[in-house]
Parts: sequence; C-alpha cells; structure tokens
Amino acid sequence: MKFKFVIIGLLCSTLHTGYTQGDSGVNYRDFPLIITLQFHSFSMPFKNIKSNFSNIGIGIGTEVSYNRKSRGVQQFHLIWYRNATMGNGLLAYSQATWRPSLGSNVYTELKLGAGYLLSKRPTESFKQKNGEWVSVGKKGKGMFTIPLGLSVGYENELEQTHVSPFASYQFLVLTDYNKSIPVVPQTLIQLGNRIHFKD
Amino acid sequence: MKWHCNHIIFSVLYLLTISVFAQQQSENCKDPIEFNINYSKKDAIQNALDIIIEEGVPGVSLAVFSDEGWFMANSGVVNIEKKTPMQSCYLQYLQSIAKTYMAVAVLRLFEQGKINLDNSIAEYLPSSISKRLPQSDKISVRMLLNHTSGLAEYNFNPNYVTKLLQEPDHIFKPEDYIEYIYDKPLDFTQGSKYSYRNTNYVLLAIIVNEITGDHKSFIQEFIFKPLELRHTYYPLIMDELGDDQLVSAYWDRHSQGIIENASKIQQSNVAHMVGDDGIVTTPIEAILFLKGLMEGKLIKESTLQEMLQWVKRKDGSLAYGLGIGYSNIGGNISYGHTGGGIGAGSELRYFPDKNIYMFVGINLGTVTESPLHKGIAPARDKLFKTLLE
Repeated sequence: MKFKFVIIGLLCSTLHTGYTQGDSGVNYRDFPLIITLQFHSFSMPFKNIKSNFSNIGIGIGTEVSYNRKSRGVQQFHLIWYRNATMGNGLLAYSQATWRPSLGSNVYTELKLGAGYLLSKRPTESFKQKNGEWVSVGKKGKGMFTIPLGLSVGYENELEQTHVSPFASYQFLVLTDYNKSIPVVPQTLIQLGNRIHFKD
Repeated sequence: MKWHCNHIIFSVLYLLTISVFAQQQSENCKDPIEFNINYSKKDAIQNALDIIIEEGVPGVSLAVFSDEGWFMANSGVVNIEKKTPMQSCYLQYLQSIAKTYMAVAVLRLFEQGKINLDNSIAEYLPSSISKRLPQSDKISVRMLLNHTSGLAEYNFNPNYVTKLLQEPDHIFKPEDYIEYIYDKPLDFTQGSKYSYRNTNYVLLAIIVNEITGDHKSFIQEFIFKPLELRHTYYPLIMDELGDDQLVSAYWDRHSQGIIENASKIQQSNVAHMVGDDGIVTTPIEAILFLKGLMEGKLIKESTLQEMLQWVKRKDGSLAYGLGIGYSNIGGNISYGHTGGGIGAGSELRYFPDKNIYMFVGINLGTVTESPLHKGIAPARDKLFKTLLE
C-alpha cells in the first residue's frame, strides 16, 4: 500500500509539471532533492531483471554541479533496500554524472562512482563463544562498491520548482564479499524524481 | 492457594508433555542398526568429533563399519536454534558423493548393453544439447565418468551462482545447468587430462534419462531397492520429507567465522541438482551403498574393476576412476568420494587395506572459504588418524 502511495506521488509530481522551459543547461539549481524507489538484485548486469522487482527499497540524494550547469554533476545517494534472500542493505555512494541532452527535454546520464554498502545477513547468525553458539542477529558486513549507472530522464522546469523524473540502471561491483568470491555483482533499478526547489 | 494448585497442575502437565515428546523424538531417532558398544576406539573417536565441534562445526555425524562391526558417533547439534543434538538417524547431504551413485547407474546400463562407455556422448544426448557442446562427437561417456572431457564447469558461471543465491526457489531443469556452458570451448583437449567438472555428471543424468526415461527412478530401482536403502532420498522433496529429518545447514557467507542458517537455499539447491548432487541419506545407508558396491551387490566384479581404473593428476598421482575417487590418507589407500555444498560437507570412504568403511557428515558449508575451516581441517585429520591407526 505504502509502495503504491510512493509511486502515485512520484507520478503526480511529474504530471503536475504544467509547462517546460526546455534548456536544461542554464539556471541550474544545486542541491535538489532526489527521491528514488529502488529495486535490488544480486545479479549480473541485465540478468534476472524480474528478481529486482522482488526486492524493494527507497533512496534519497542530492547533487551539485561542477559549473552551475546540469550537464556535469556529482551526485550523493543514501539507499536502503530489502532483500529477503540475500540480506537487506544500506548503501551510500557518490557518482560523477555526465548528463547529455537528447533533445525535447529528454536527457541521458552516465555515472561512475564509489560507495560503501552495509549488507545484513538474511537470517539469524551465530558465533561460537566458549563452546556455545551465540546469536549475533543478522549482523552484516561493510563492503566497498563501485557503482556504474545509466539513466534516462525528462527535464521539466516549472517556474518555481523544477522536476525531473528519471529511470536508472545501476551495476554495482562489490569487493571482499567473501574469501572465495572476492568480487560480486549487484544491480539496482531506480525510478526517481529530482526536485529543484525555488532558490 | 488456588493459583498455586493450578500452577503445579500446569507444571506437571508441561513436564509430562515434554517427557512424551522427548521419548517420541528418541524413538523416532533409534539407531537402525545395532552397533558395537565396545568398539575399541569409541572414546578416541568421540574425542576427535568433539574437537571438530570445538573448532566451529555445528554438528558432525560419523558411521564406521570395520571388522569390529558397526560404530556410530555424533557431536554437536542438528540445529543451533533449537539445540537439537546430532544423532545418527538424521539425513545428511551427500553432495558430490551422489556422483558415485550416478556412475553406478551408468555402469548398470553398460552391463545391460544399453550404453557403450567409449561411444561419443553425441550418440546418447538429445541433438539440441549435443550440437551446443564442442567436440561432443569426440567426448566419450567414459570421459564424462572420469572427468577427462574438458567441458567447462557450469557452476563457475557467475550467472548461475547469482541466480541460485538470489532465487533459491527457481526450479532448474537438467538442461538449464548445461545451458550455462553452451558453445563454450573445451578447457583442454578431451581425454588429455583429469579435471573435475560437475557438468560431466549432469550430462550423464541427461543420458540416462534418454535411455531409461528417468534416471532418478532407475537409481531408486537398481540401487536403493536391492540394498534396501529406505532412508535414502533422490530427489529430495521437502514437502514429503518434512523439516525434522534433515540436518539444518549453516554457511559462513562472508568468511568471518559467523554462520547463518542456510537450510532453505541448501535444500532448494540440492532438490534441483541432478547427477552431480541431490541425494540425502543417513550415515549408515551411505556406508551400505559403498559396501554394497564393493561387495558386488550392484555391479559385476569385472565392471567394478573398470570403475577402479584410475586417471592420474598432472603430478602422476592417482586421482579418479569412474565416479569414484582415489586418495591416500596418512599412507592408507581409500576409494570413495567427498562432497561439499553451501551448507554441508561429507566424506564416504572405503579403506581396502584395513577393511574399514566410514562416512562423516557436517552441517557447515565447505564450498566457500571460512576461517573456521583452518581449525576444522586438522581436527578432521585427527579423526582419520584415530580411525586408521
């Protein structure tokens, strides 16, 4: 139910953009609010996409431009996702983002960055102490990650509040998952909206 | 006073219930074979098993058959959460030991004249599969059996591993495993060297399916039935078996010495594997299988000798026969197989020079590295030393 509410909210914020100004390269406002729905999977890129939609999360973020234009920005995100099979996760990352316009207010993004994932275990876990197994709950592990992303979005600038819905596909390379599999892949499908409030 | 009386009545009822339940558990778990309570090494073996537990294995179950008769010993727990003690009646995961069963099925078909070990696999596989496997017209059935085919390993494929871990309920059909290696070049020229590959045994299962209609029914009919293995299951169907007969499985996911209950993924994985894995059994019935095989109850002596023709490793040491491994443990030759999975590990061995059969199963995963393994490996060596000295 909450999930539906968030989706409707995202759609409404997009549809309420009455008219567009079109030129995304000027009058850029730093520190917009980026809100996202996340769909996580322990998968190779563009594989098992169906499984992404079983593992939902939310994210919040912002960005700052390199030169007061929207074409080159640095984004910052904090994401929480639920994954009953592989364990829930809290992911913080930043990505350098190149945002070329495709015309008609449509843009694409290429993103590359670094982050840190705190991945919980999916079930109760145990550690041996003085010959007894002691529960450590779902104690997780922190891992560095390199997220690589691809997005498509629509730039729609209201007079007061600019709103930009987008969809992203992120491929994350996680390091030090365990000693046998030092590098593992994960993917995120992101649906979100970037809201630039009035200065 | 009234409260006090009620309290006493409830306490008595509770204790009665507990005691009846415990009795049922113990009756359900009665050892199916009378074992030698005066076995000469029983204390030393129990001590060796206890050390394995101290090193971080939740539970271990051992069965031995020797000139002194049967002996069974256990330590630790079946399930950490419920603190259920490990007992010999619990079903253990055989993991890759299932390959020996699969090989016996193929050798039965060989004896029946339905398969020729030196014919190419292309003759037996459906063409939809064989045309996607390189050199399938040059790879023989024997090369699958002794791991000299050169075919790629399906479970090295990251798409398979991620699918398995993210979607444990996904139903893999035998062909699905093989799809992961379609059109991949051979790792080496077929027949030129030994290199263990699970893929080989999935293909054997598909071949036996083609010949008999269903390799699982064939294994039940020609292995489980004659040996009267009533607690050996292939395939593993959890709905029929129930949770309380099978050991829980634990996995150190992040190599941190912290283990989680991975029973769900373990069960699902084992339930879908064919040929290379997929059998659960009791320690006693694992031994009854190997003993039956060695005593000629499953295949002829001449076929057994064919099975024990060893291919060599690069260094010249003997490695593998047809579905059975060769090892030298502390100077003692052994025939048998080991098995490892996400949440379990096992060994089934016959030491011909000492006429000792043994099975040991643990409910801790062995396929990914754990700091716990560091202490467990010498503890396991100590167990073998105790058993064989």
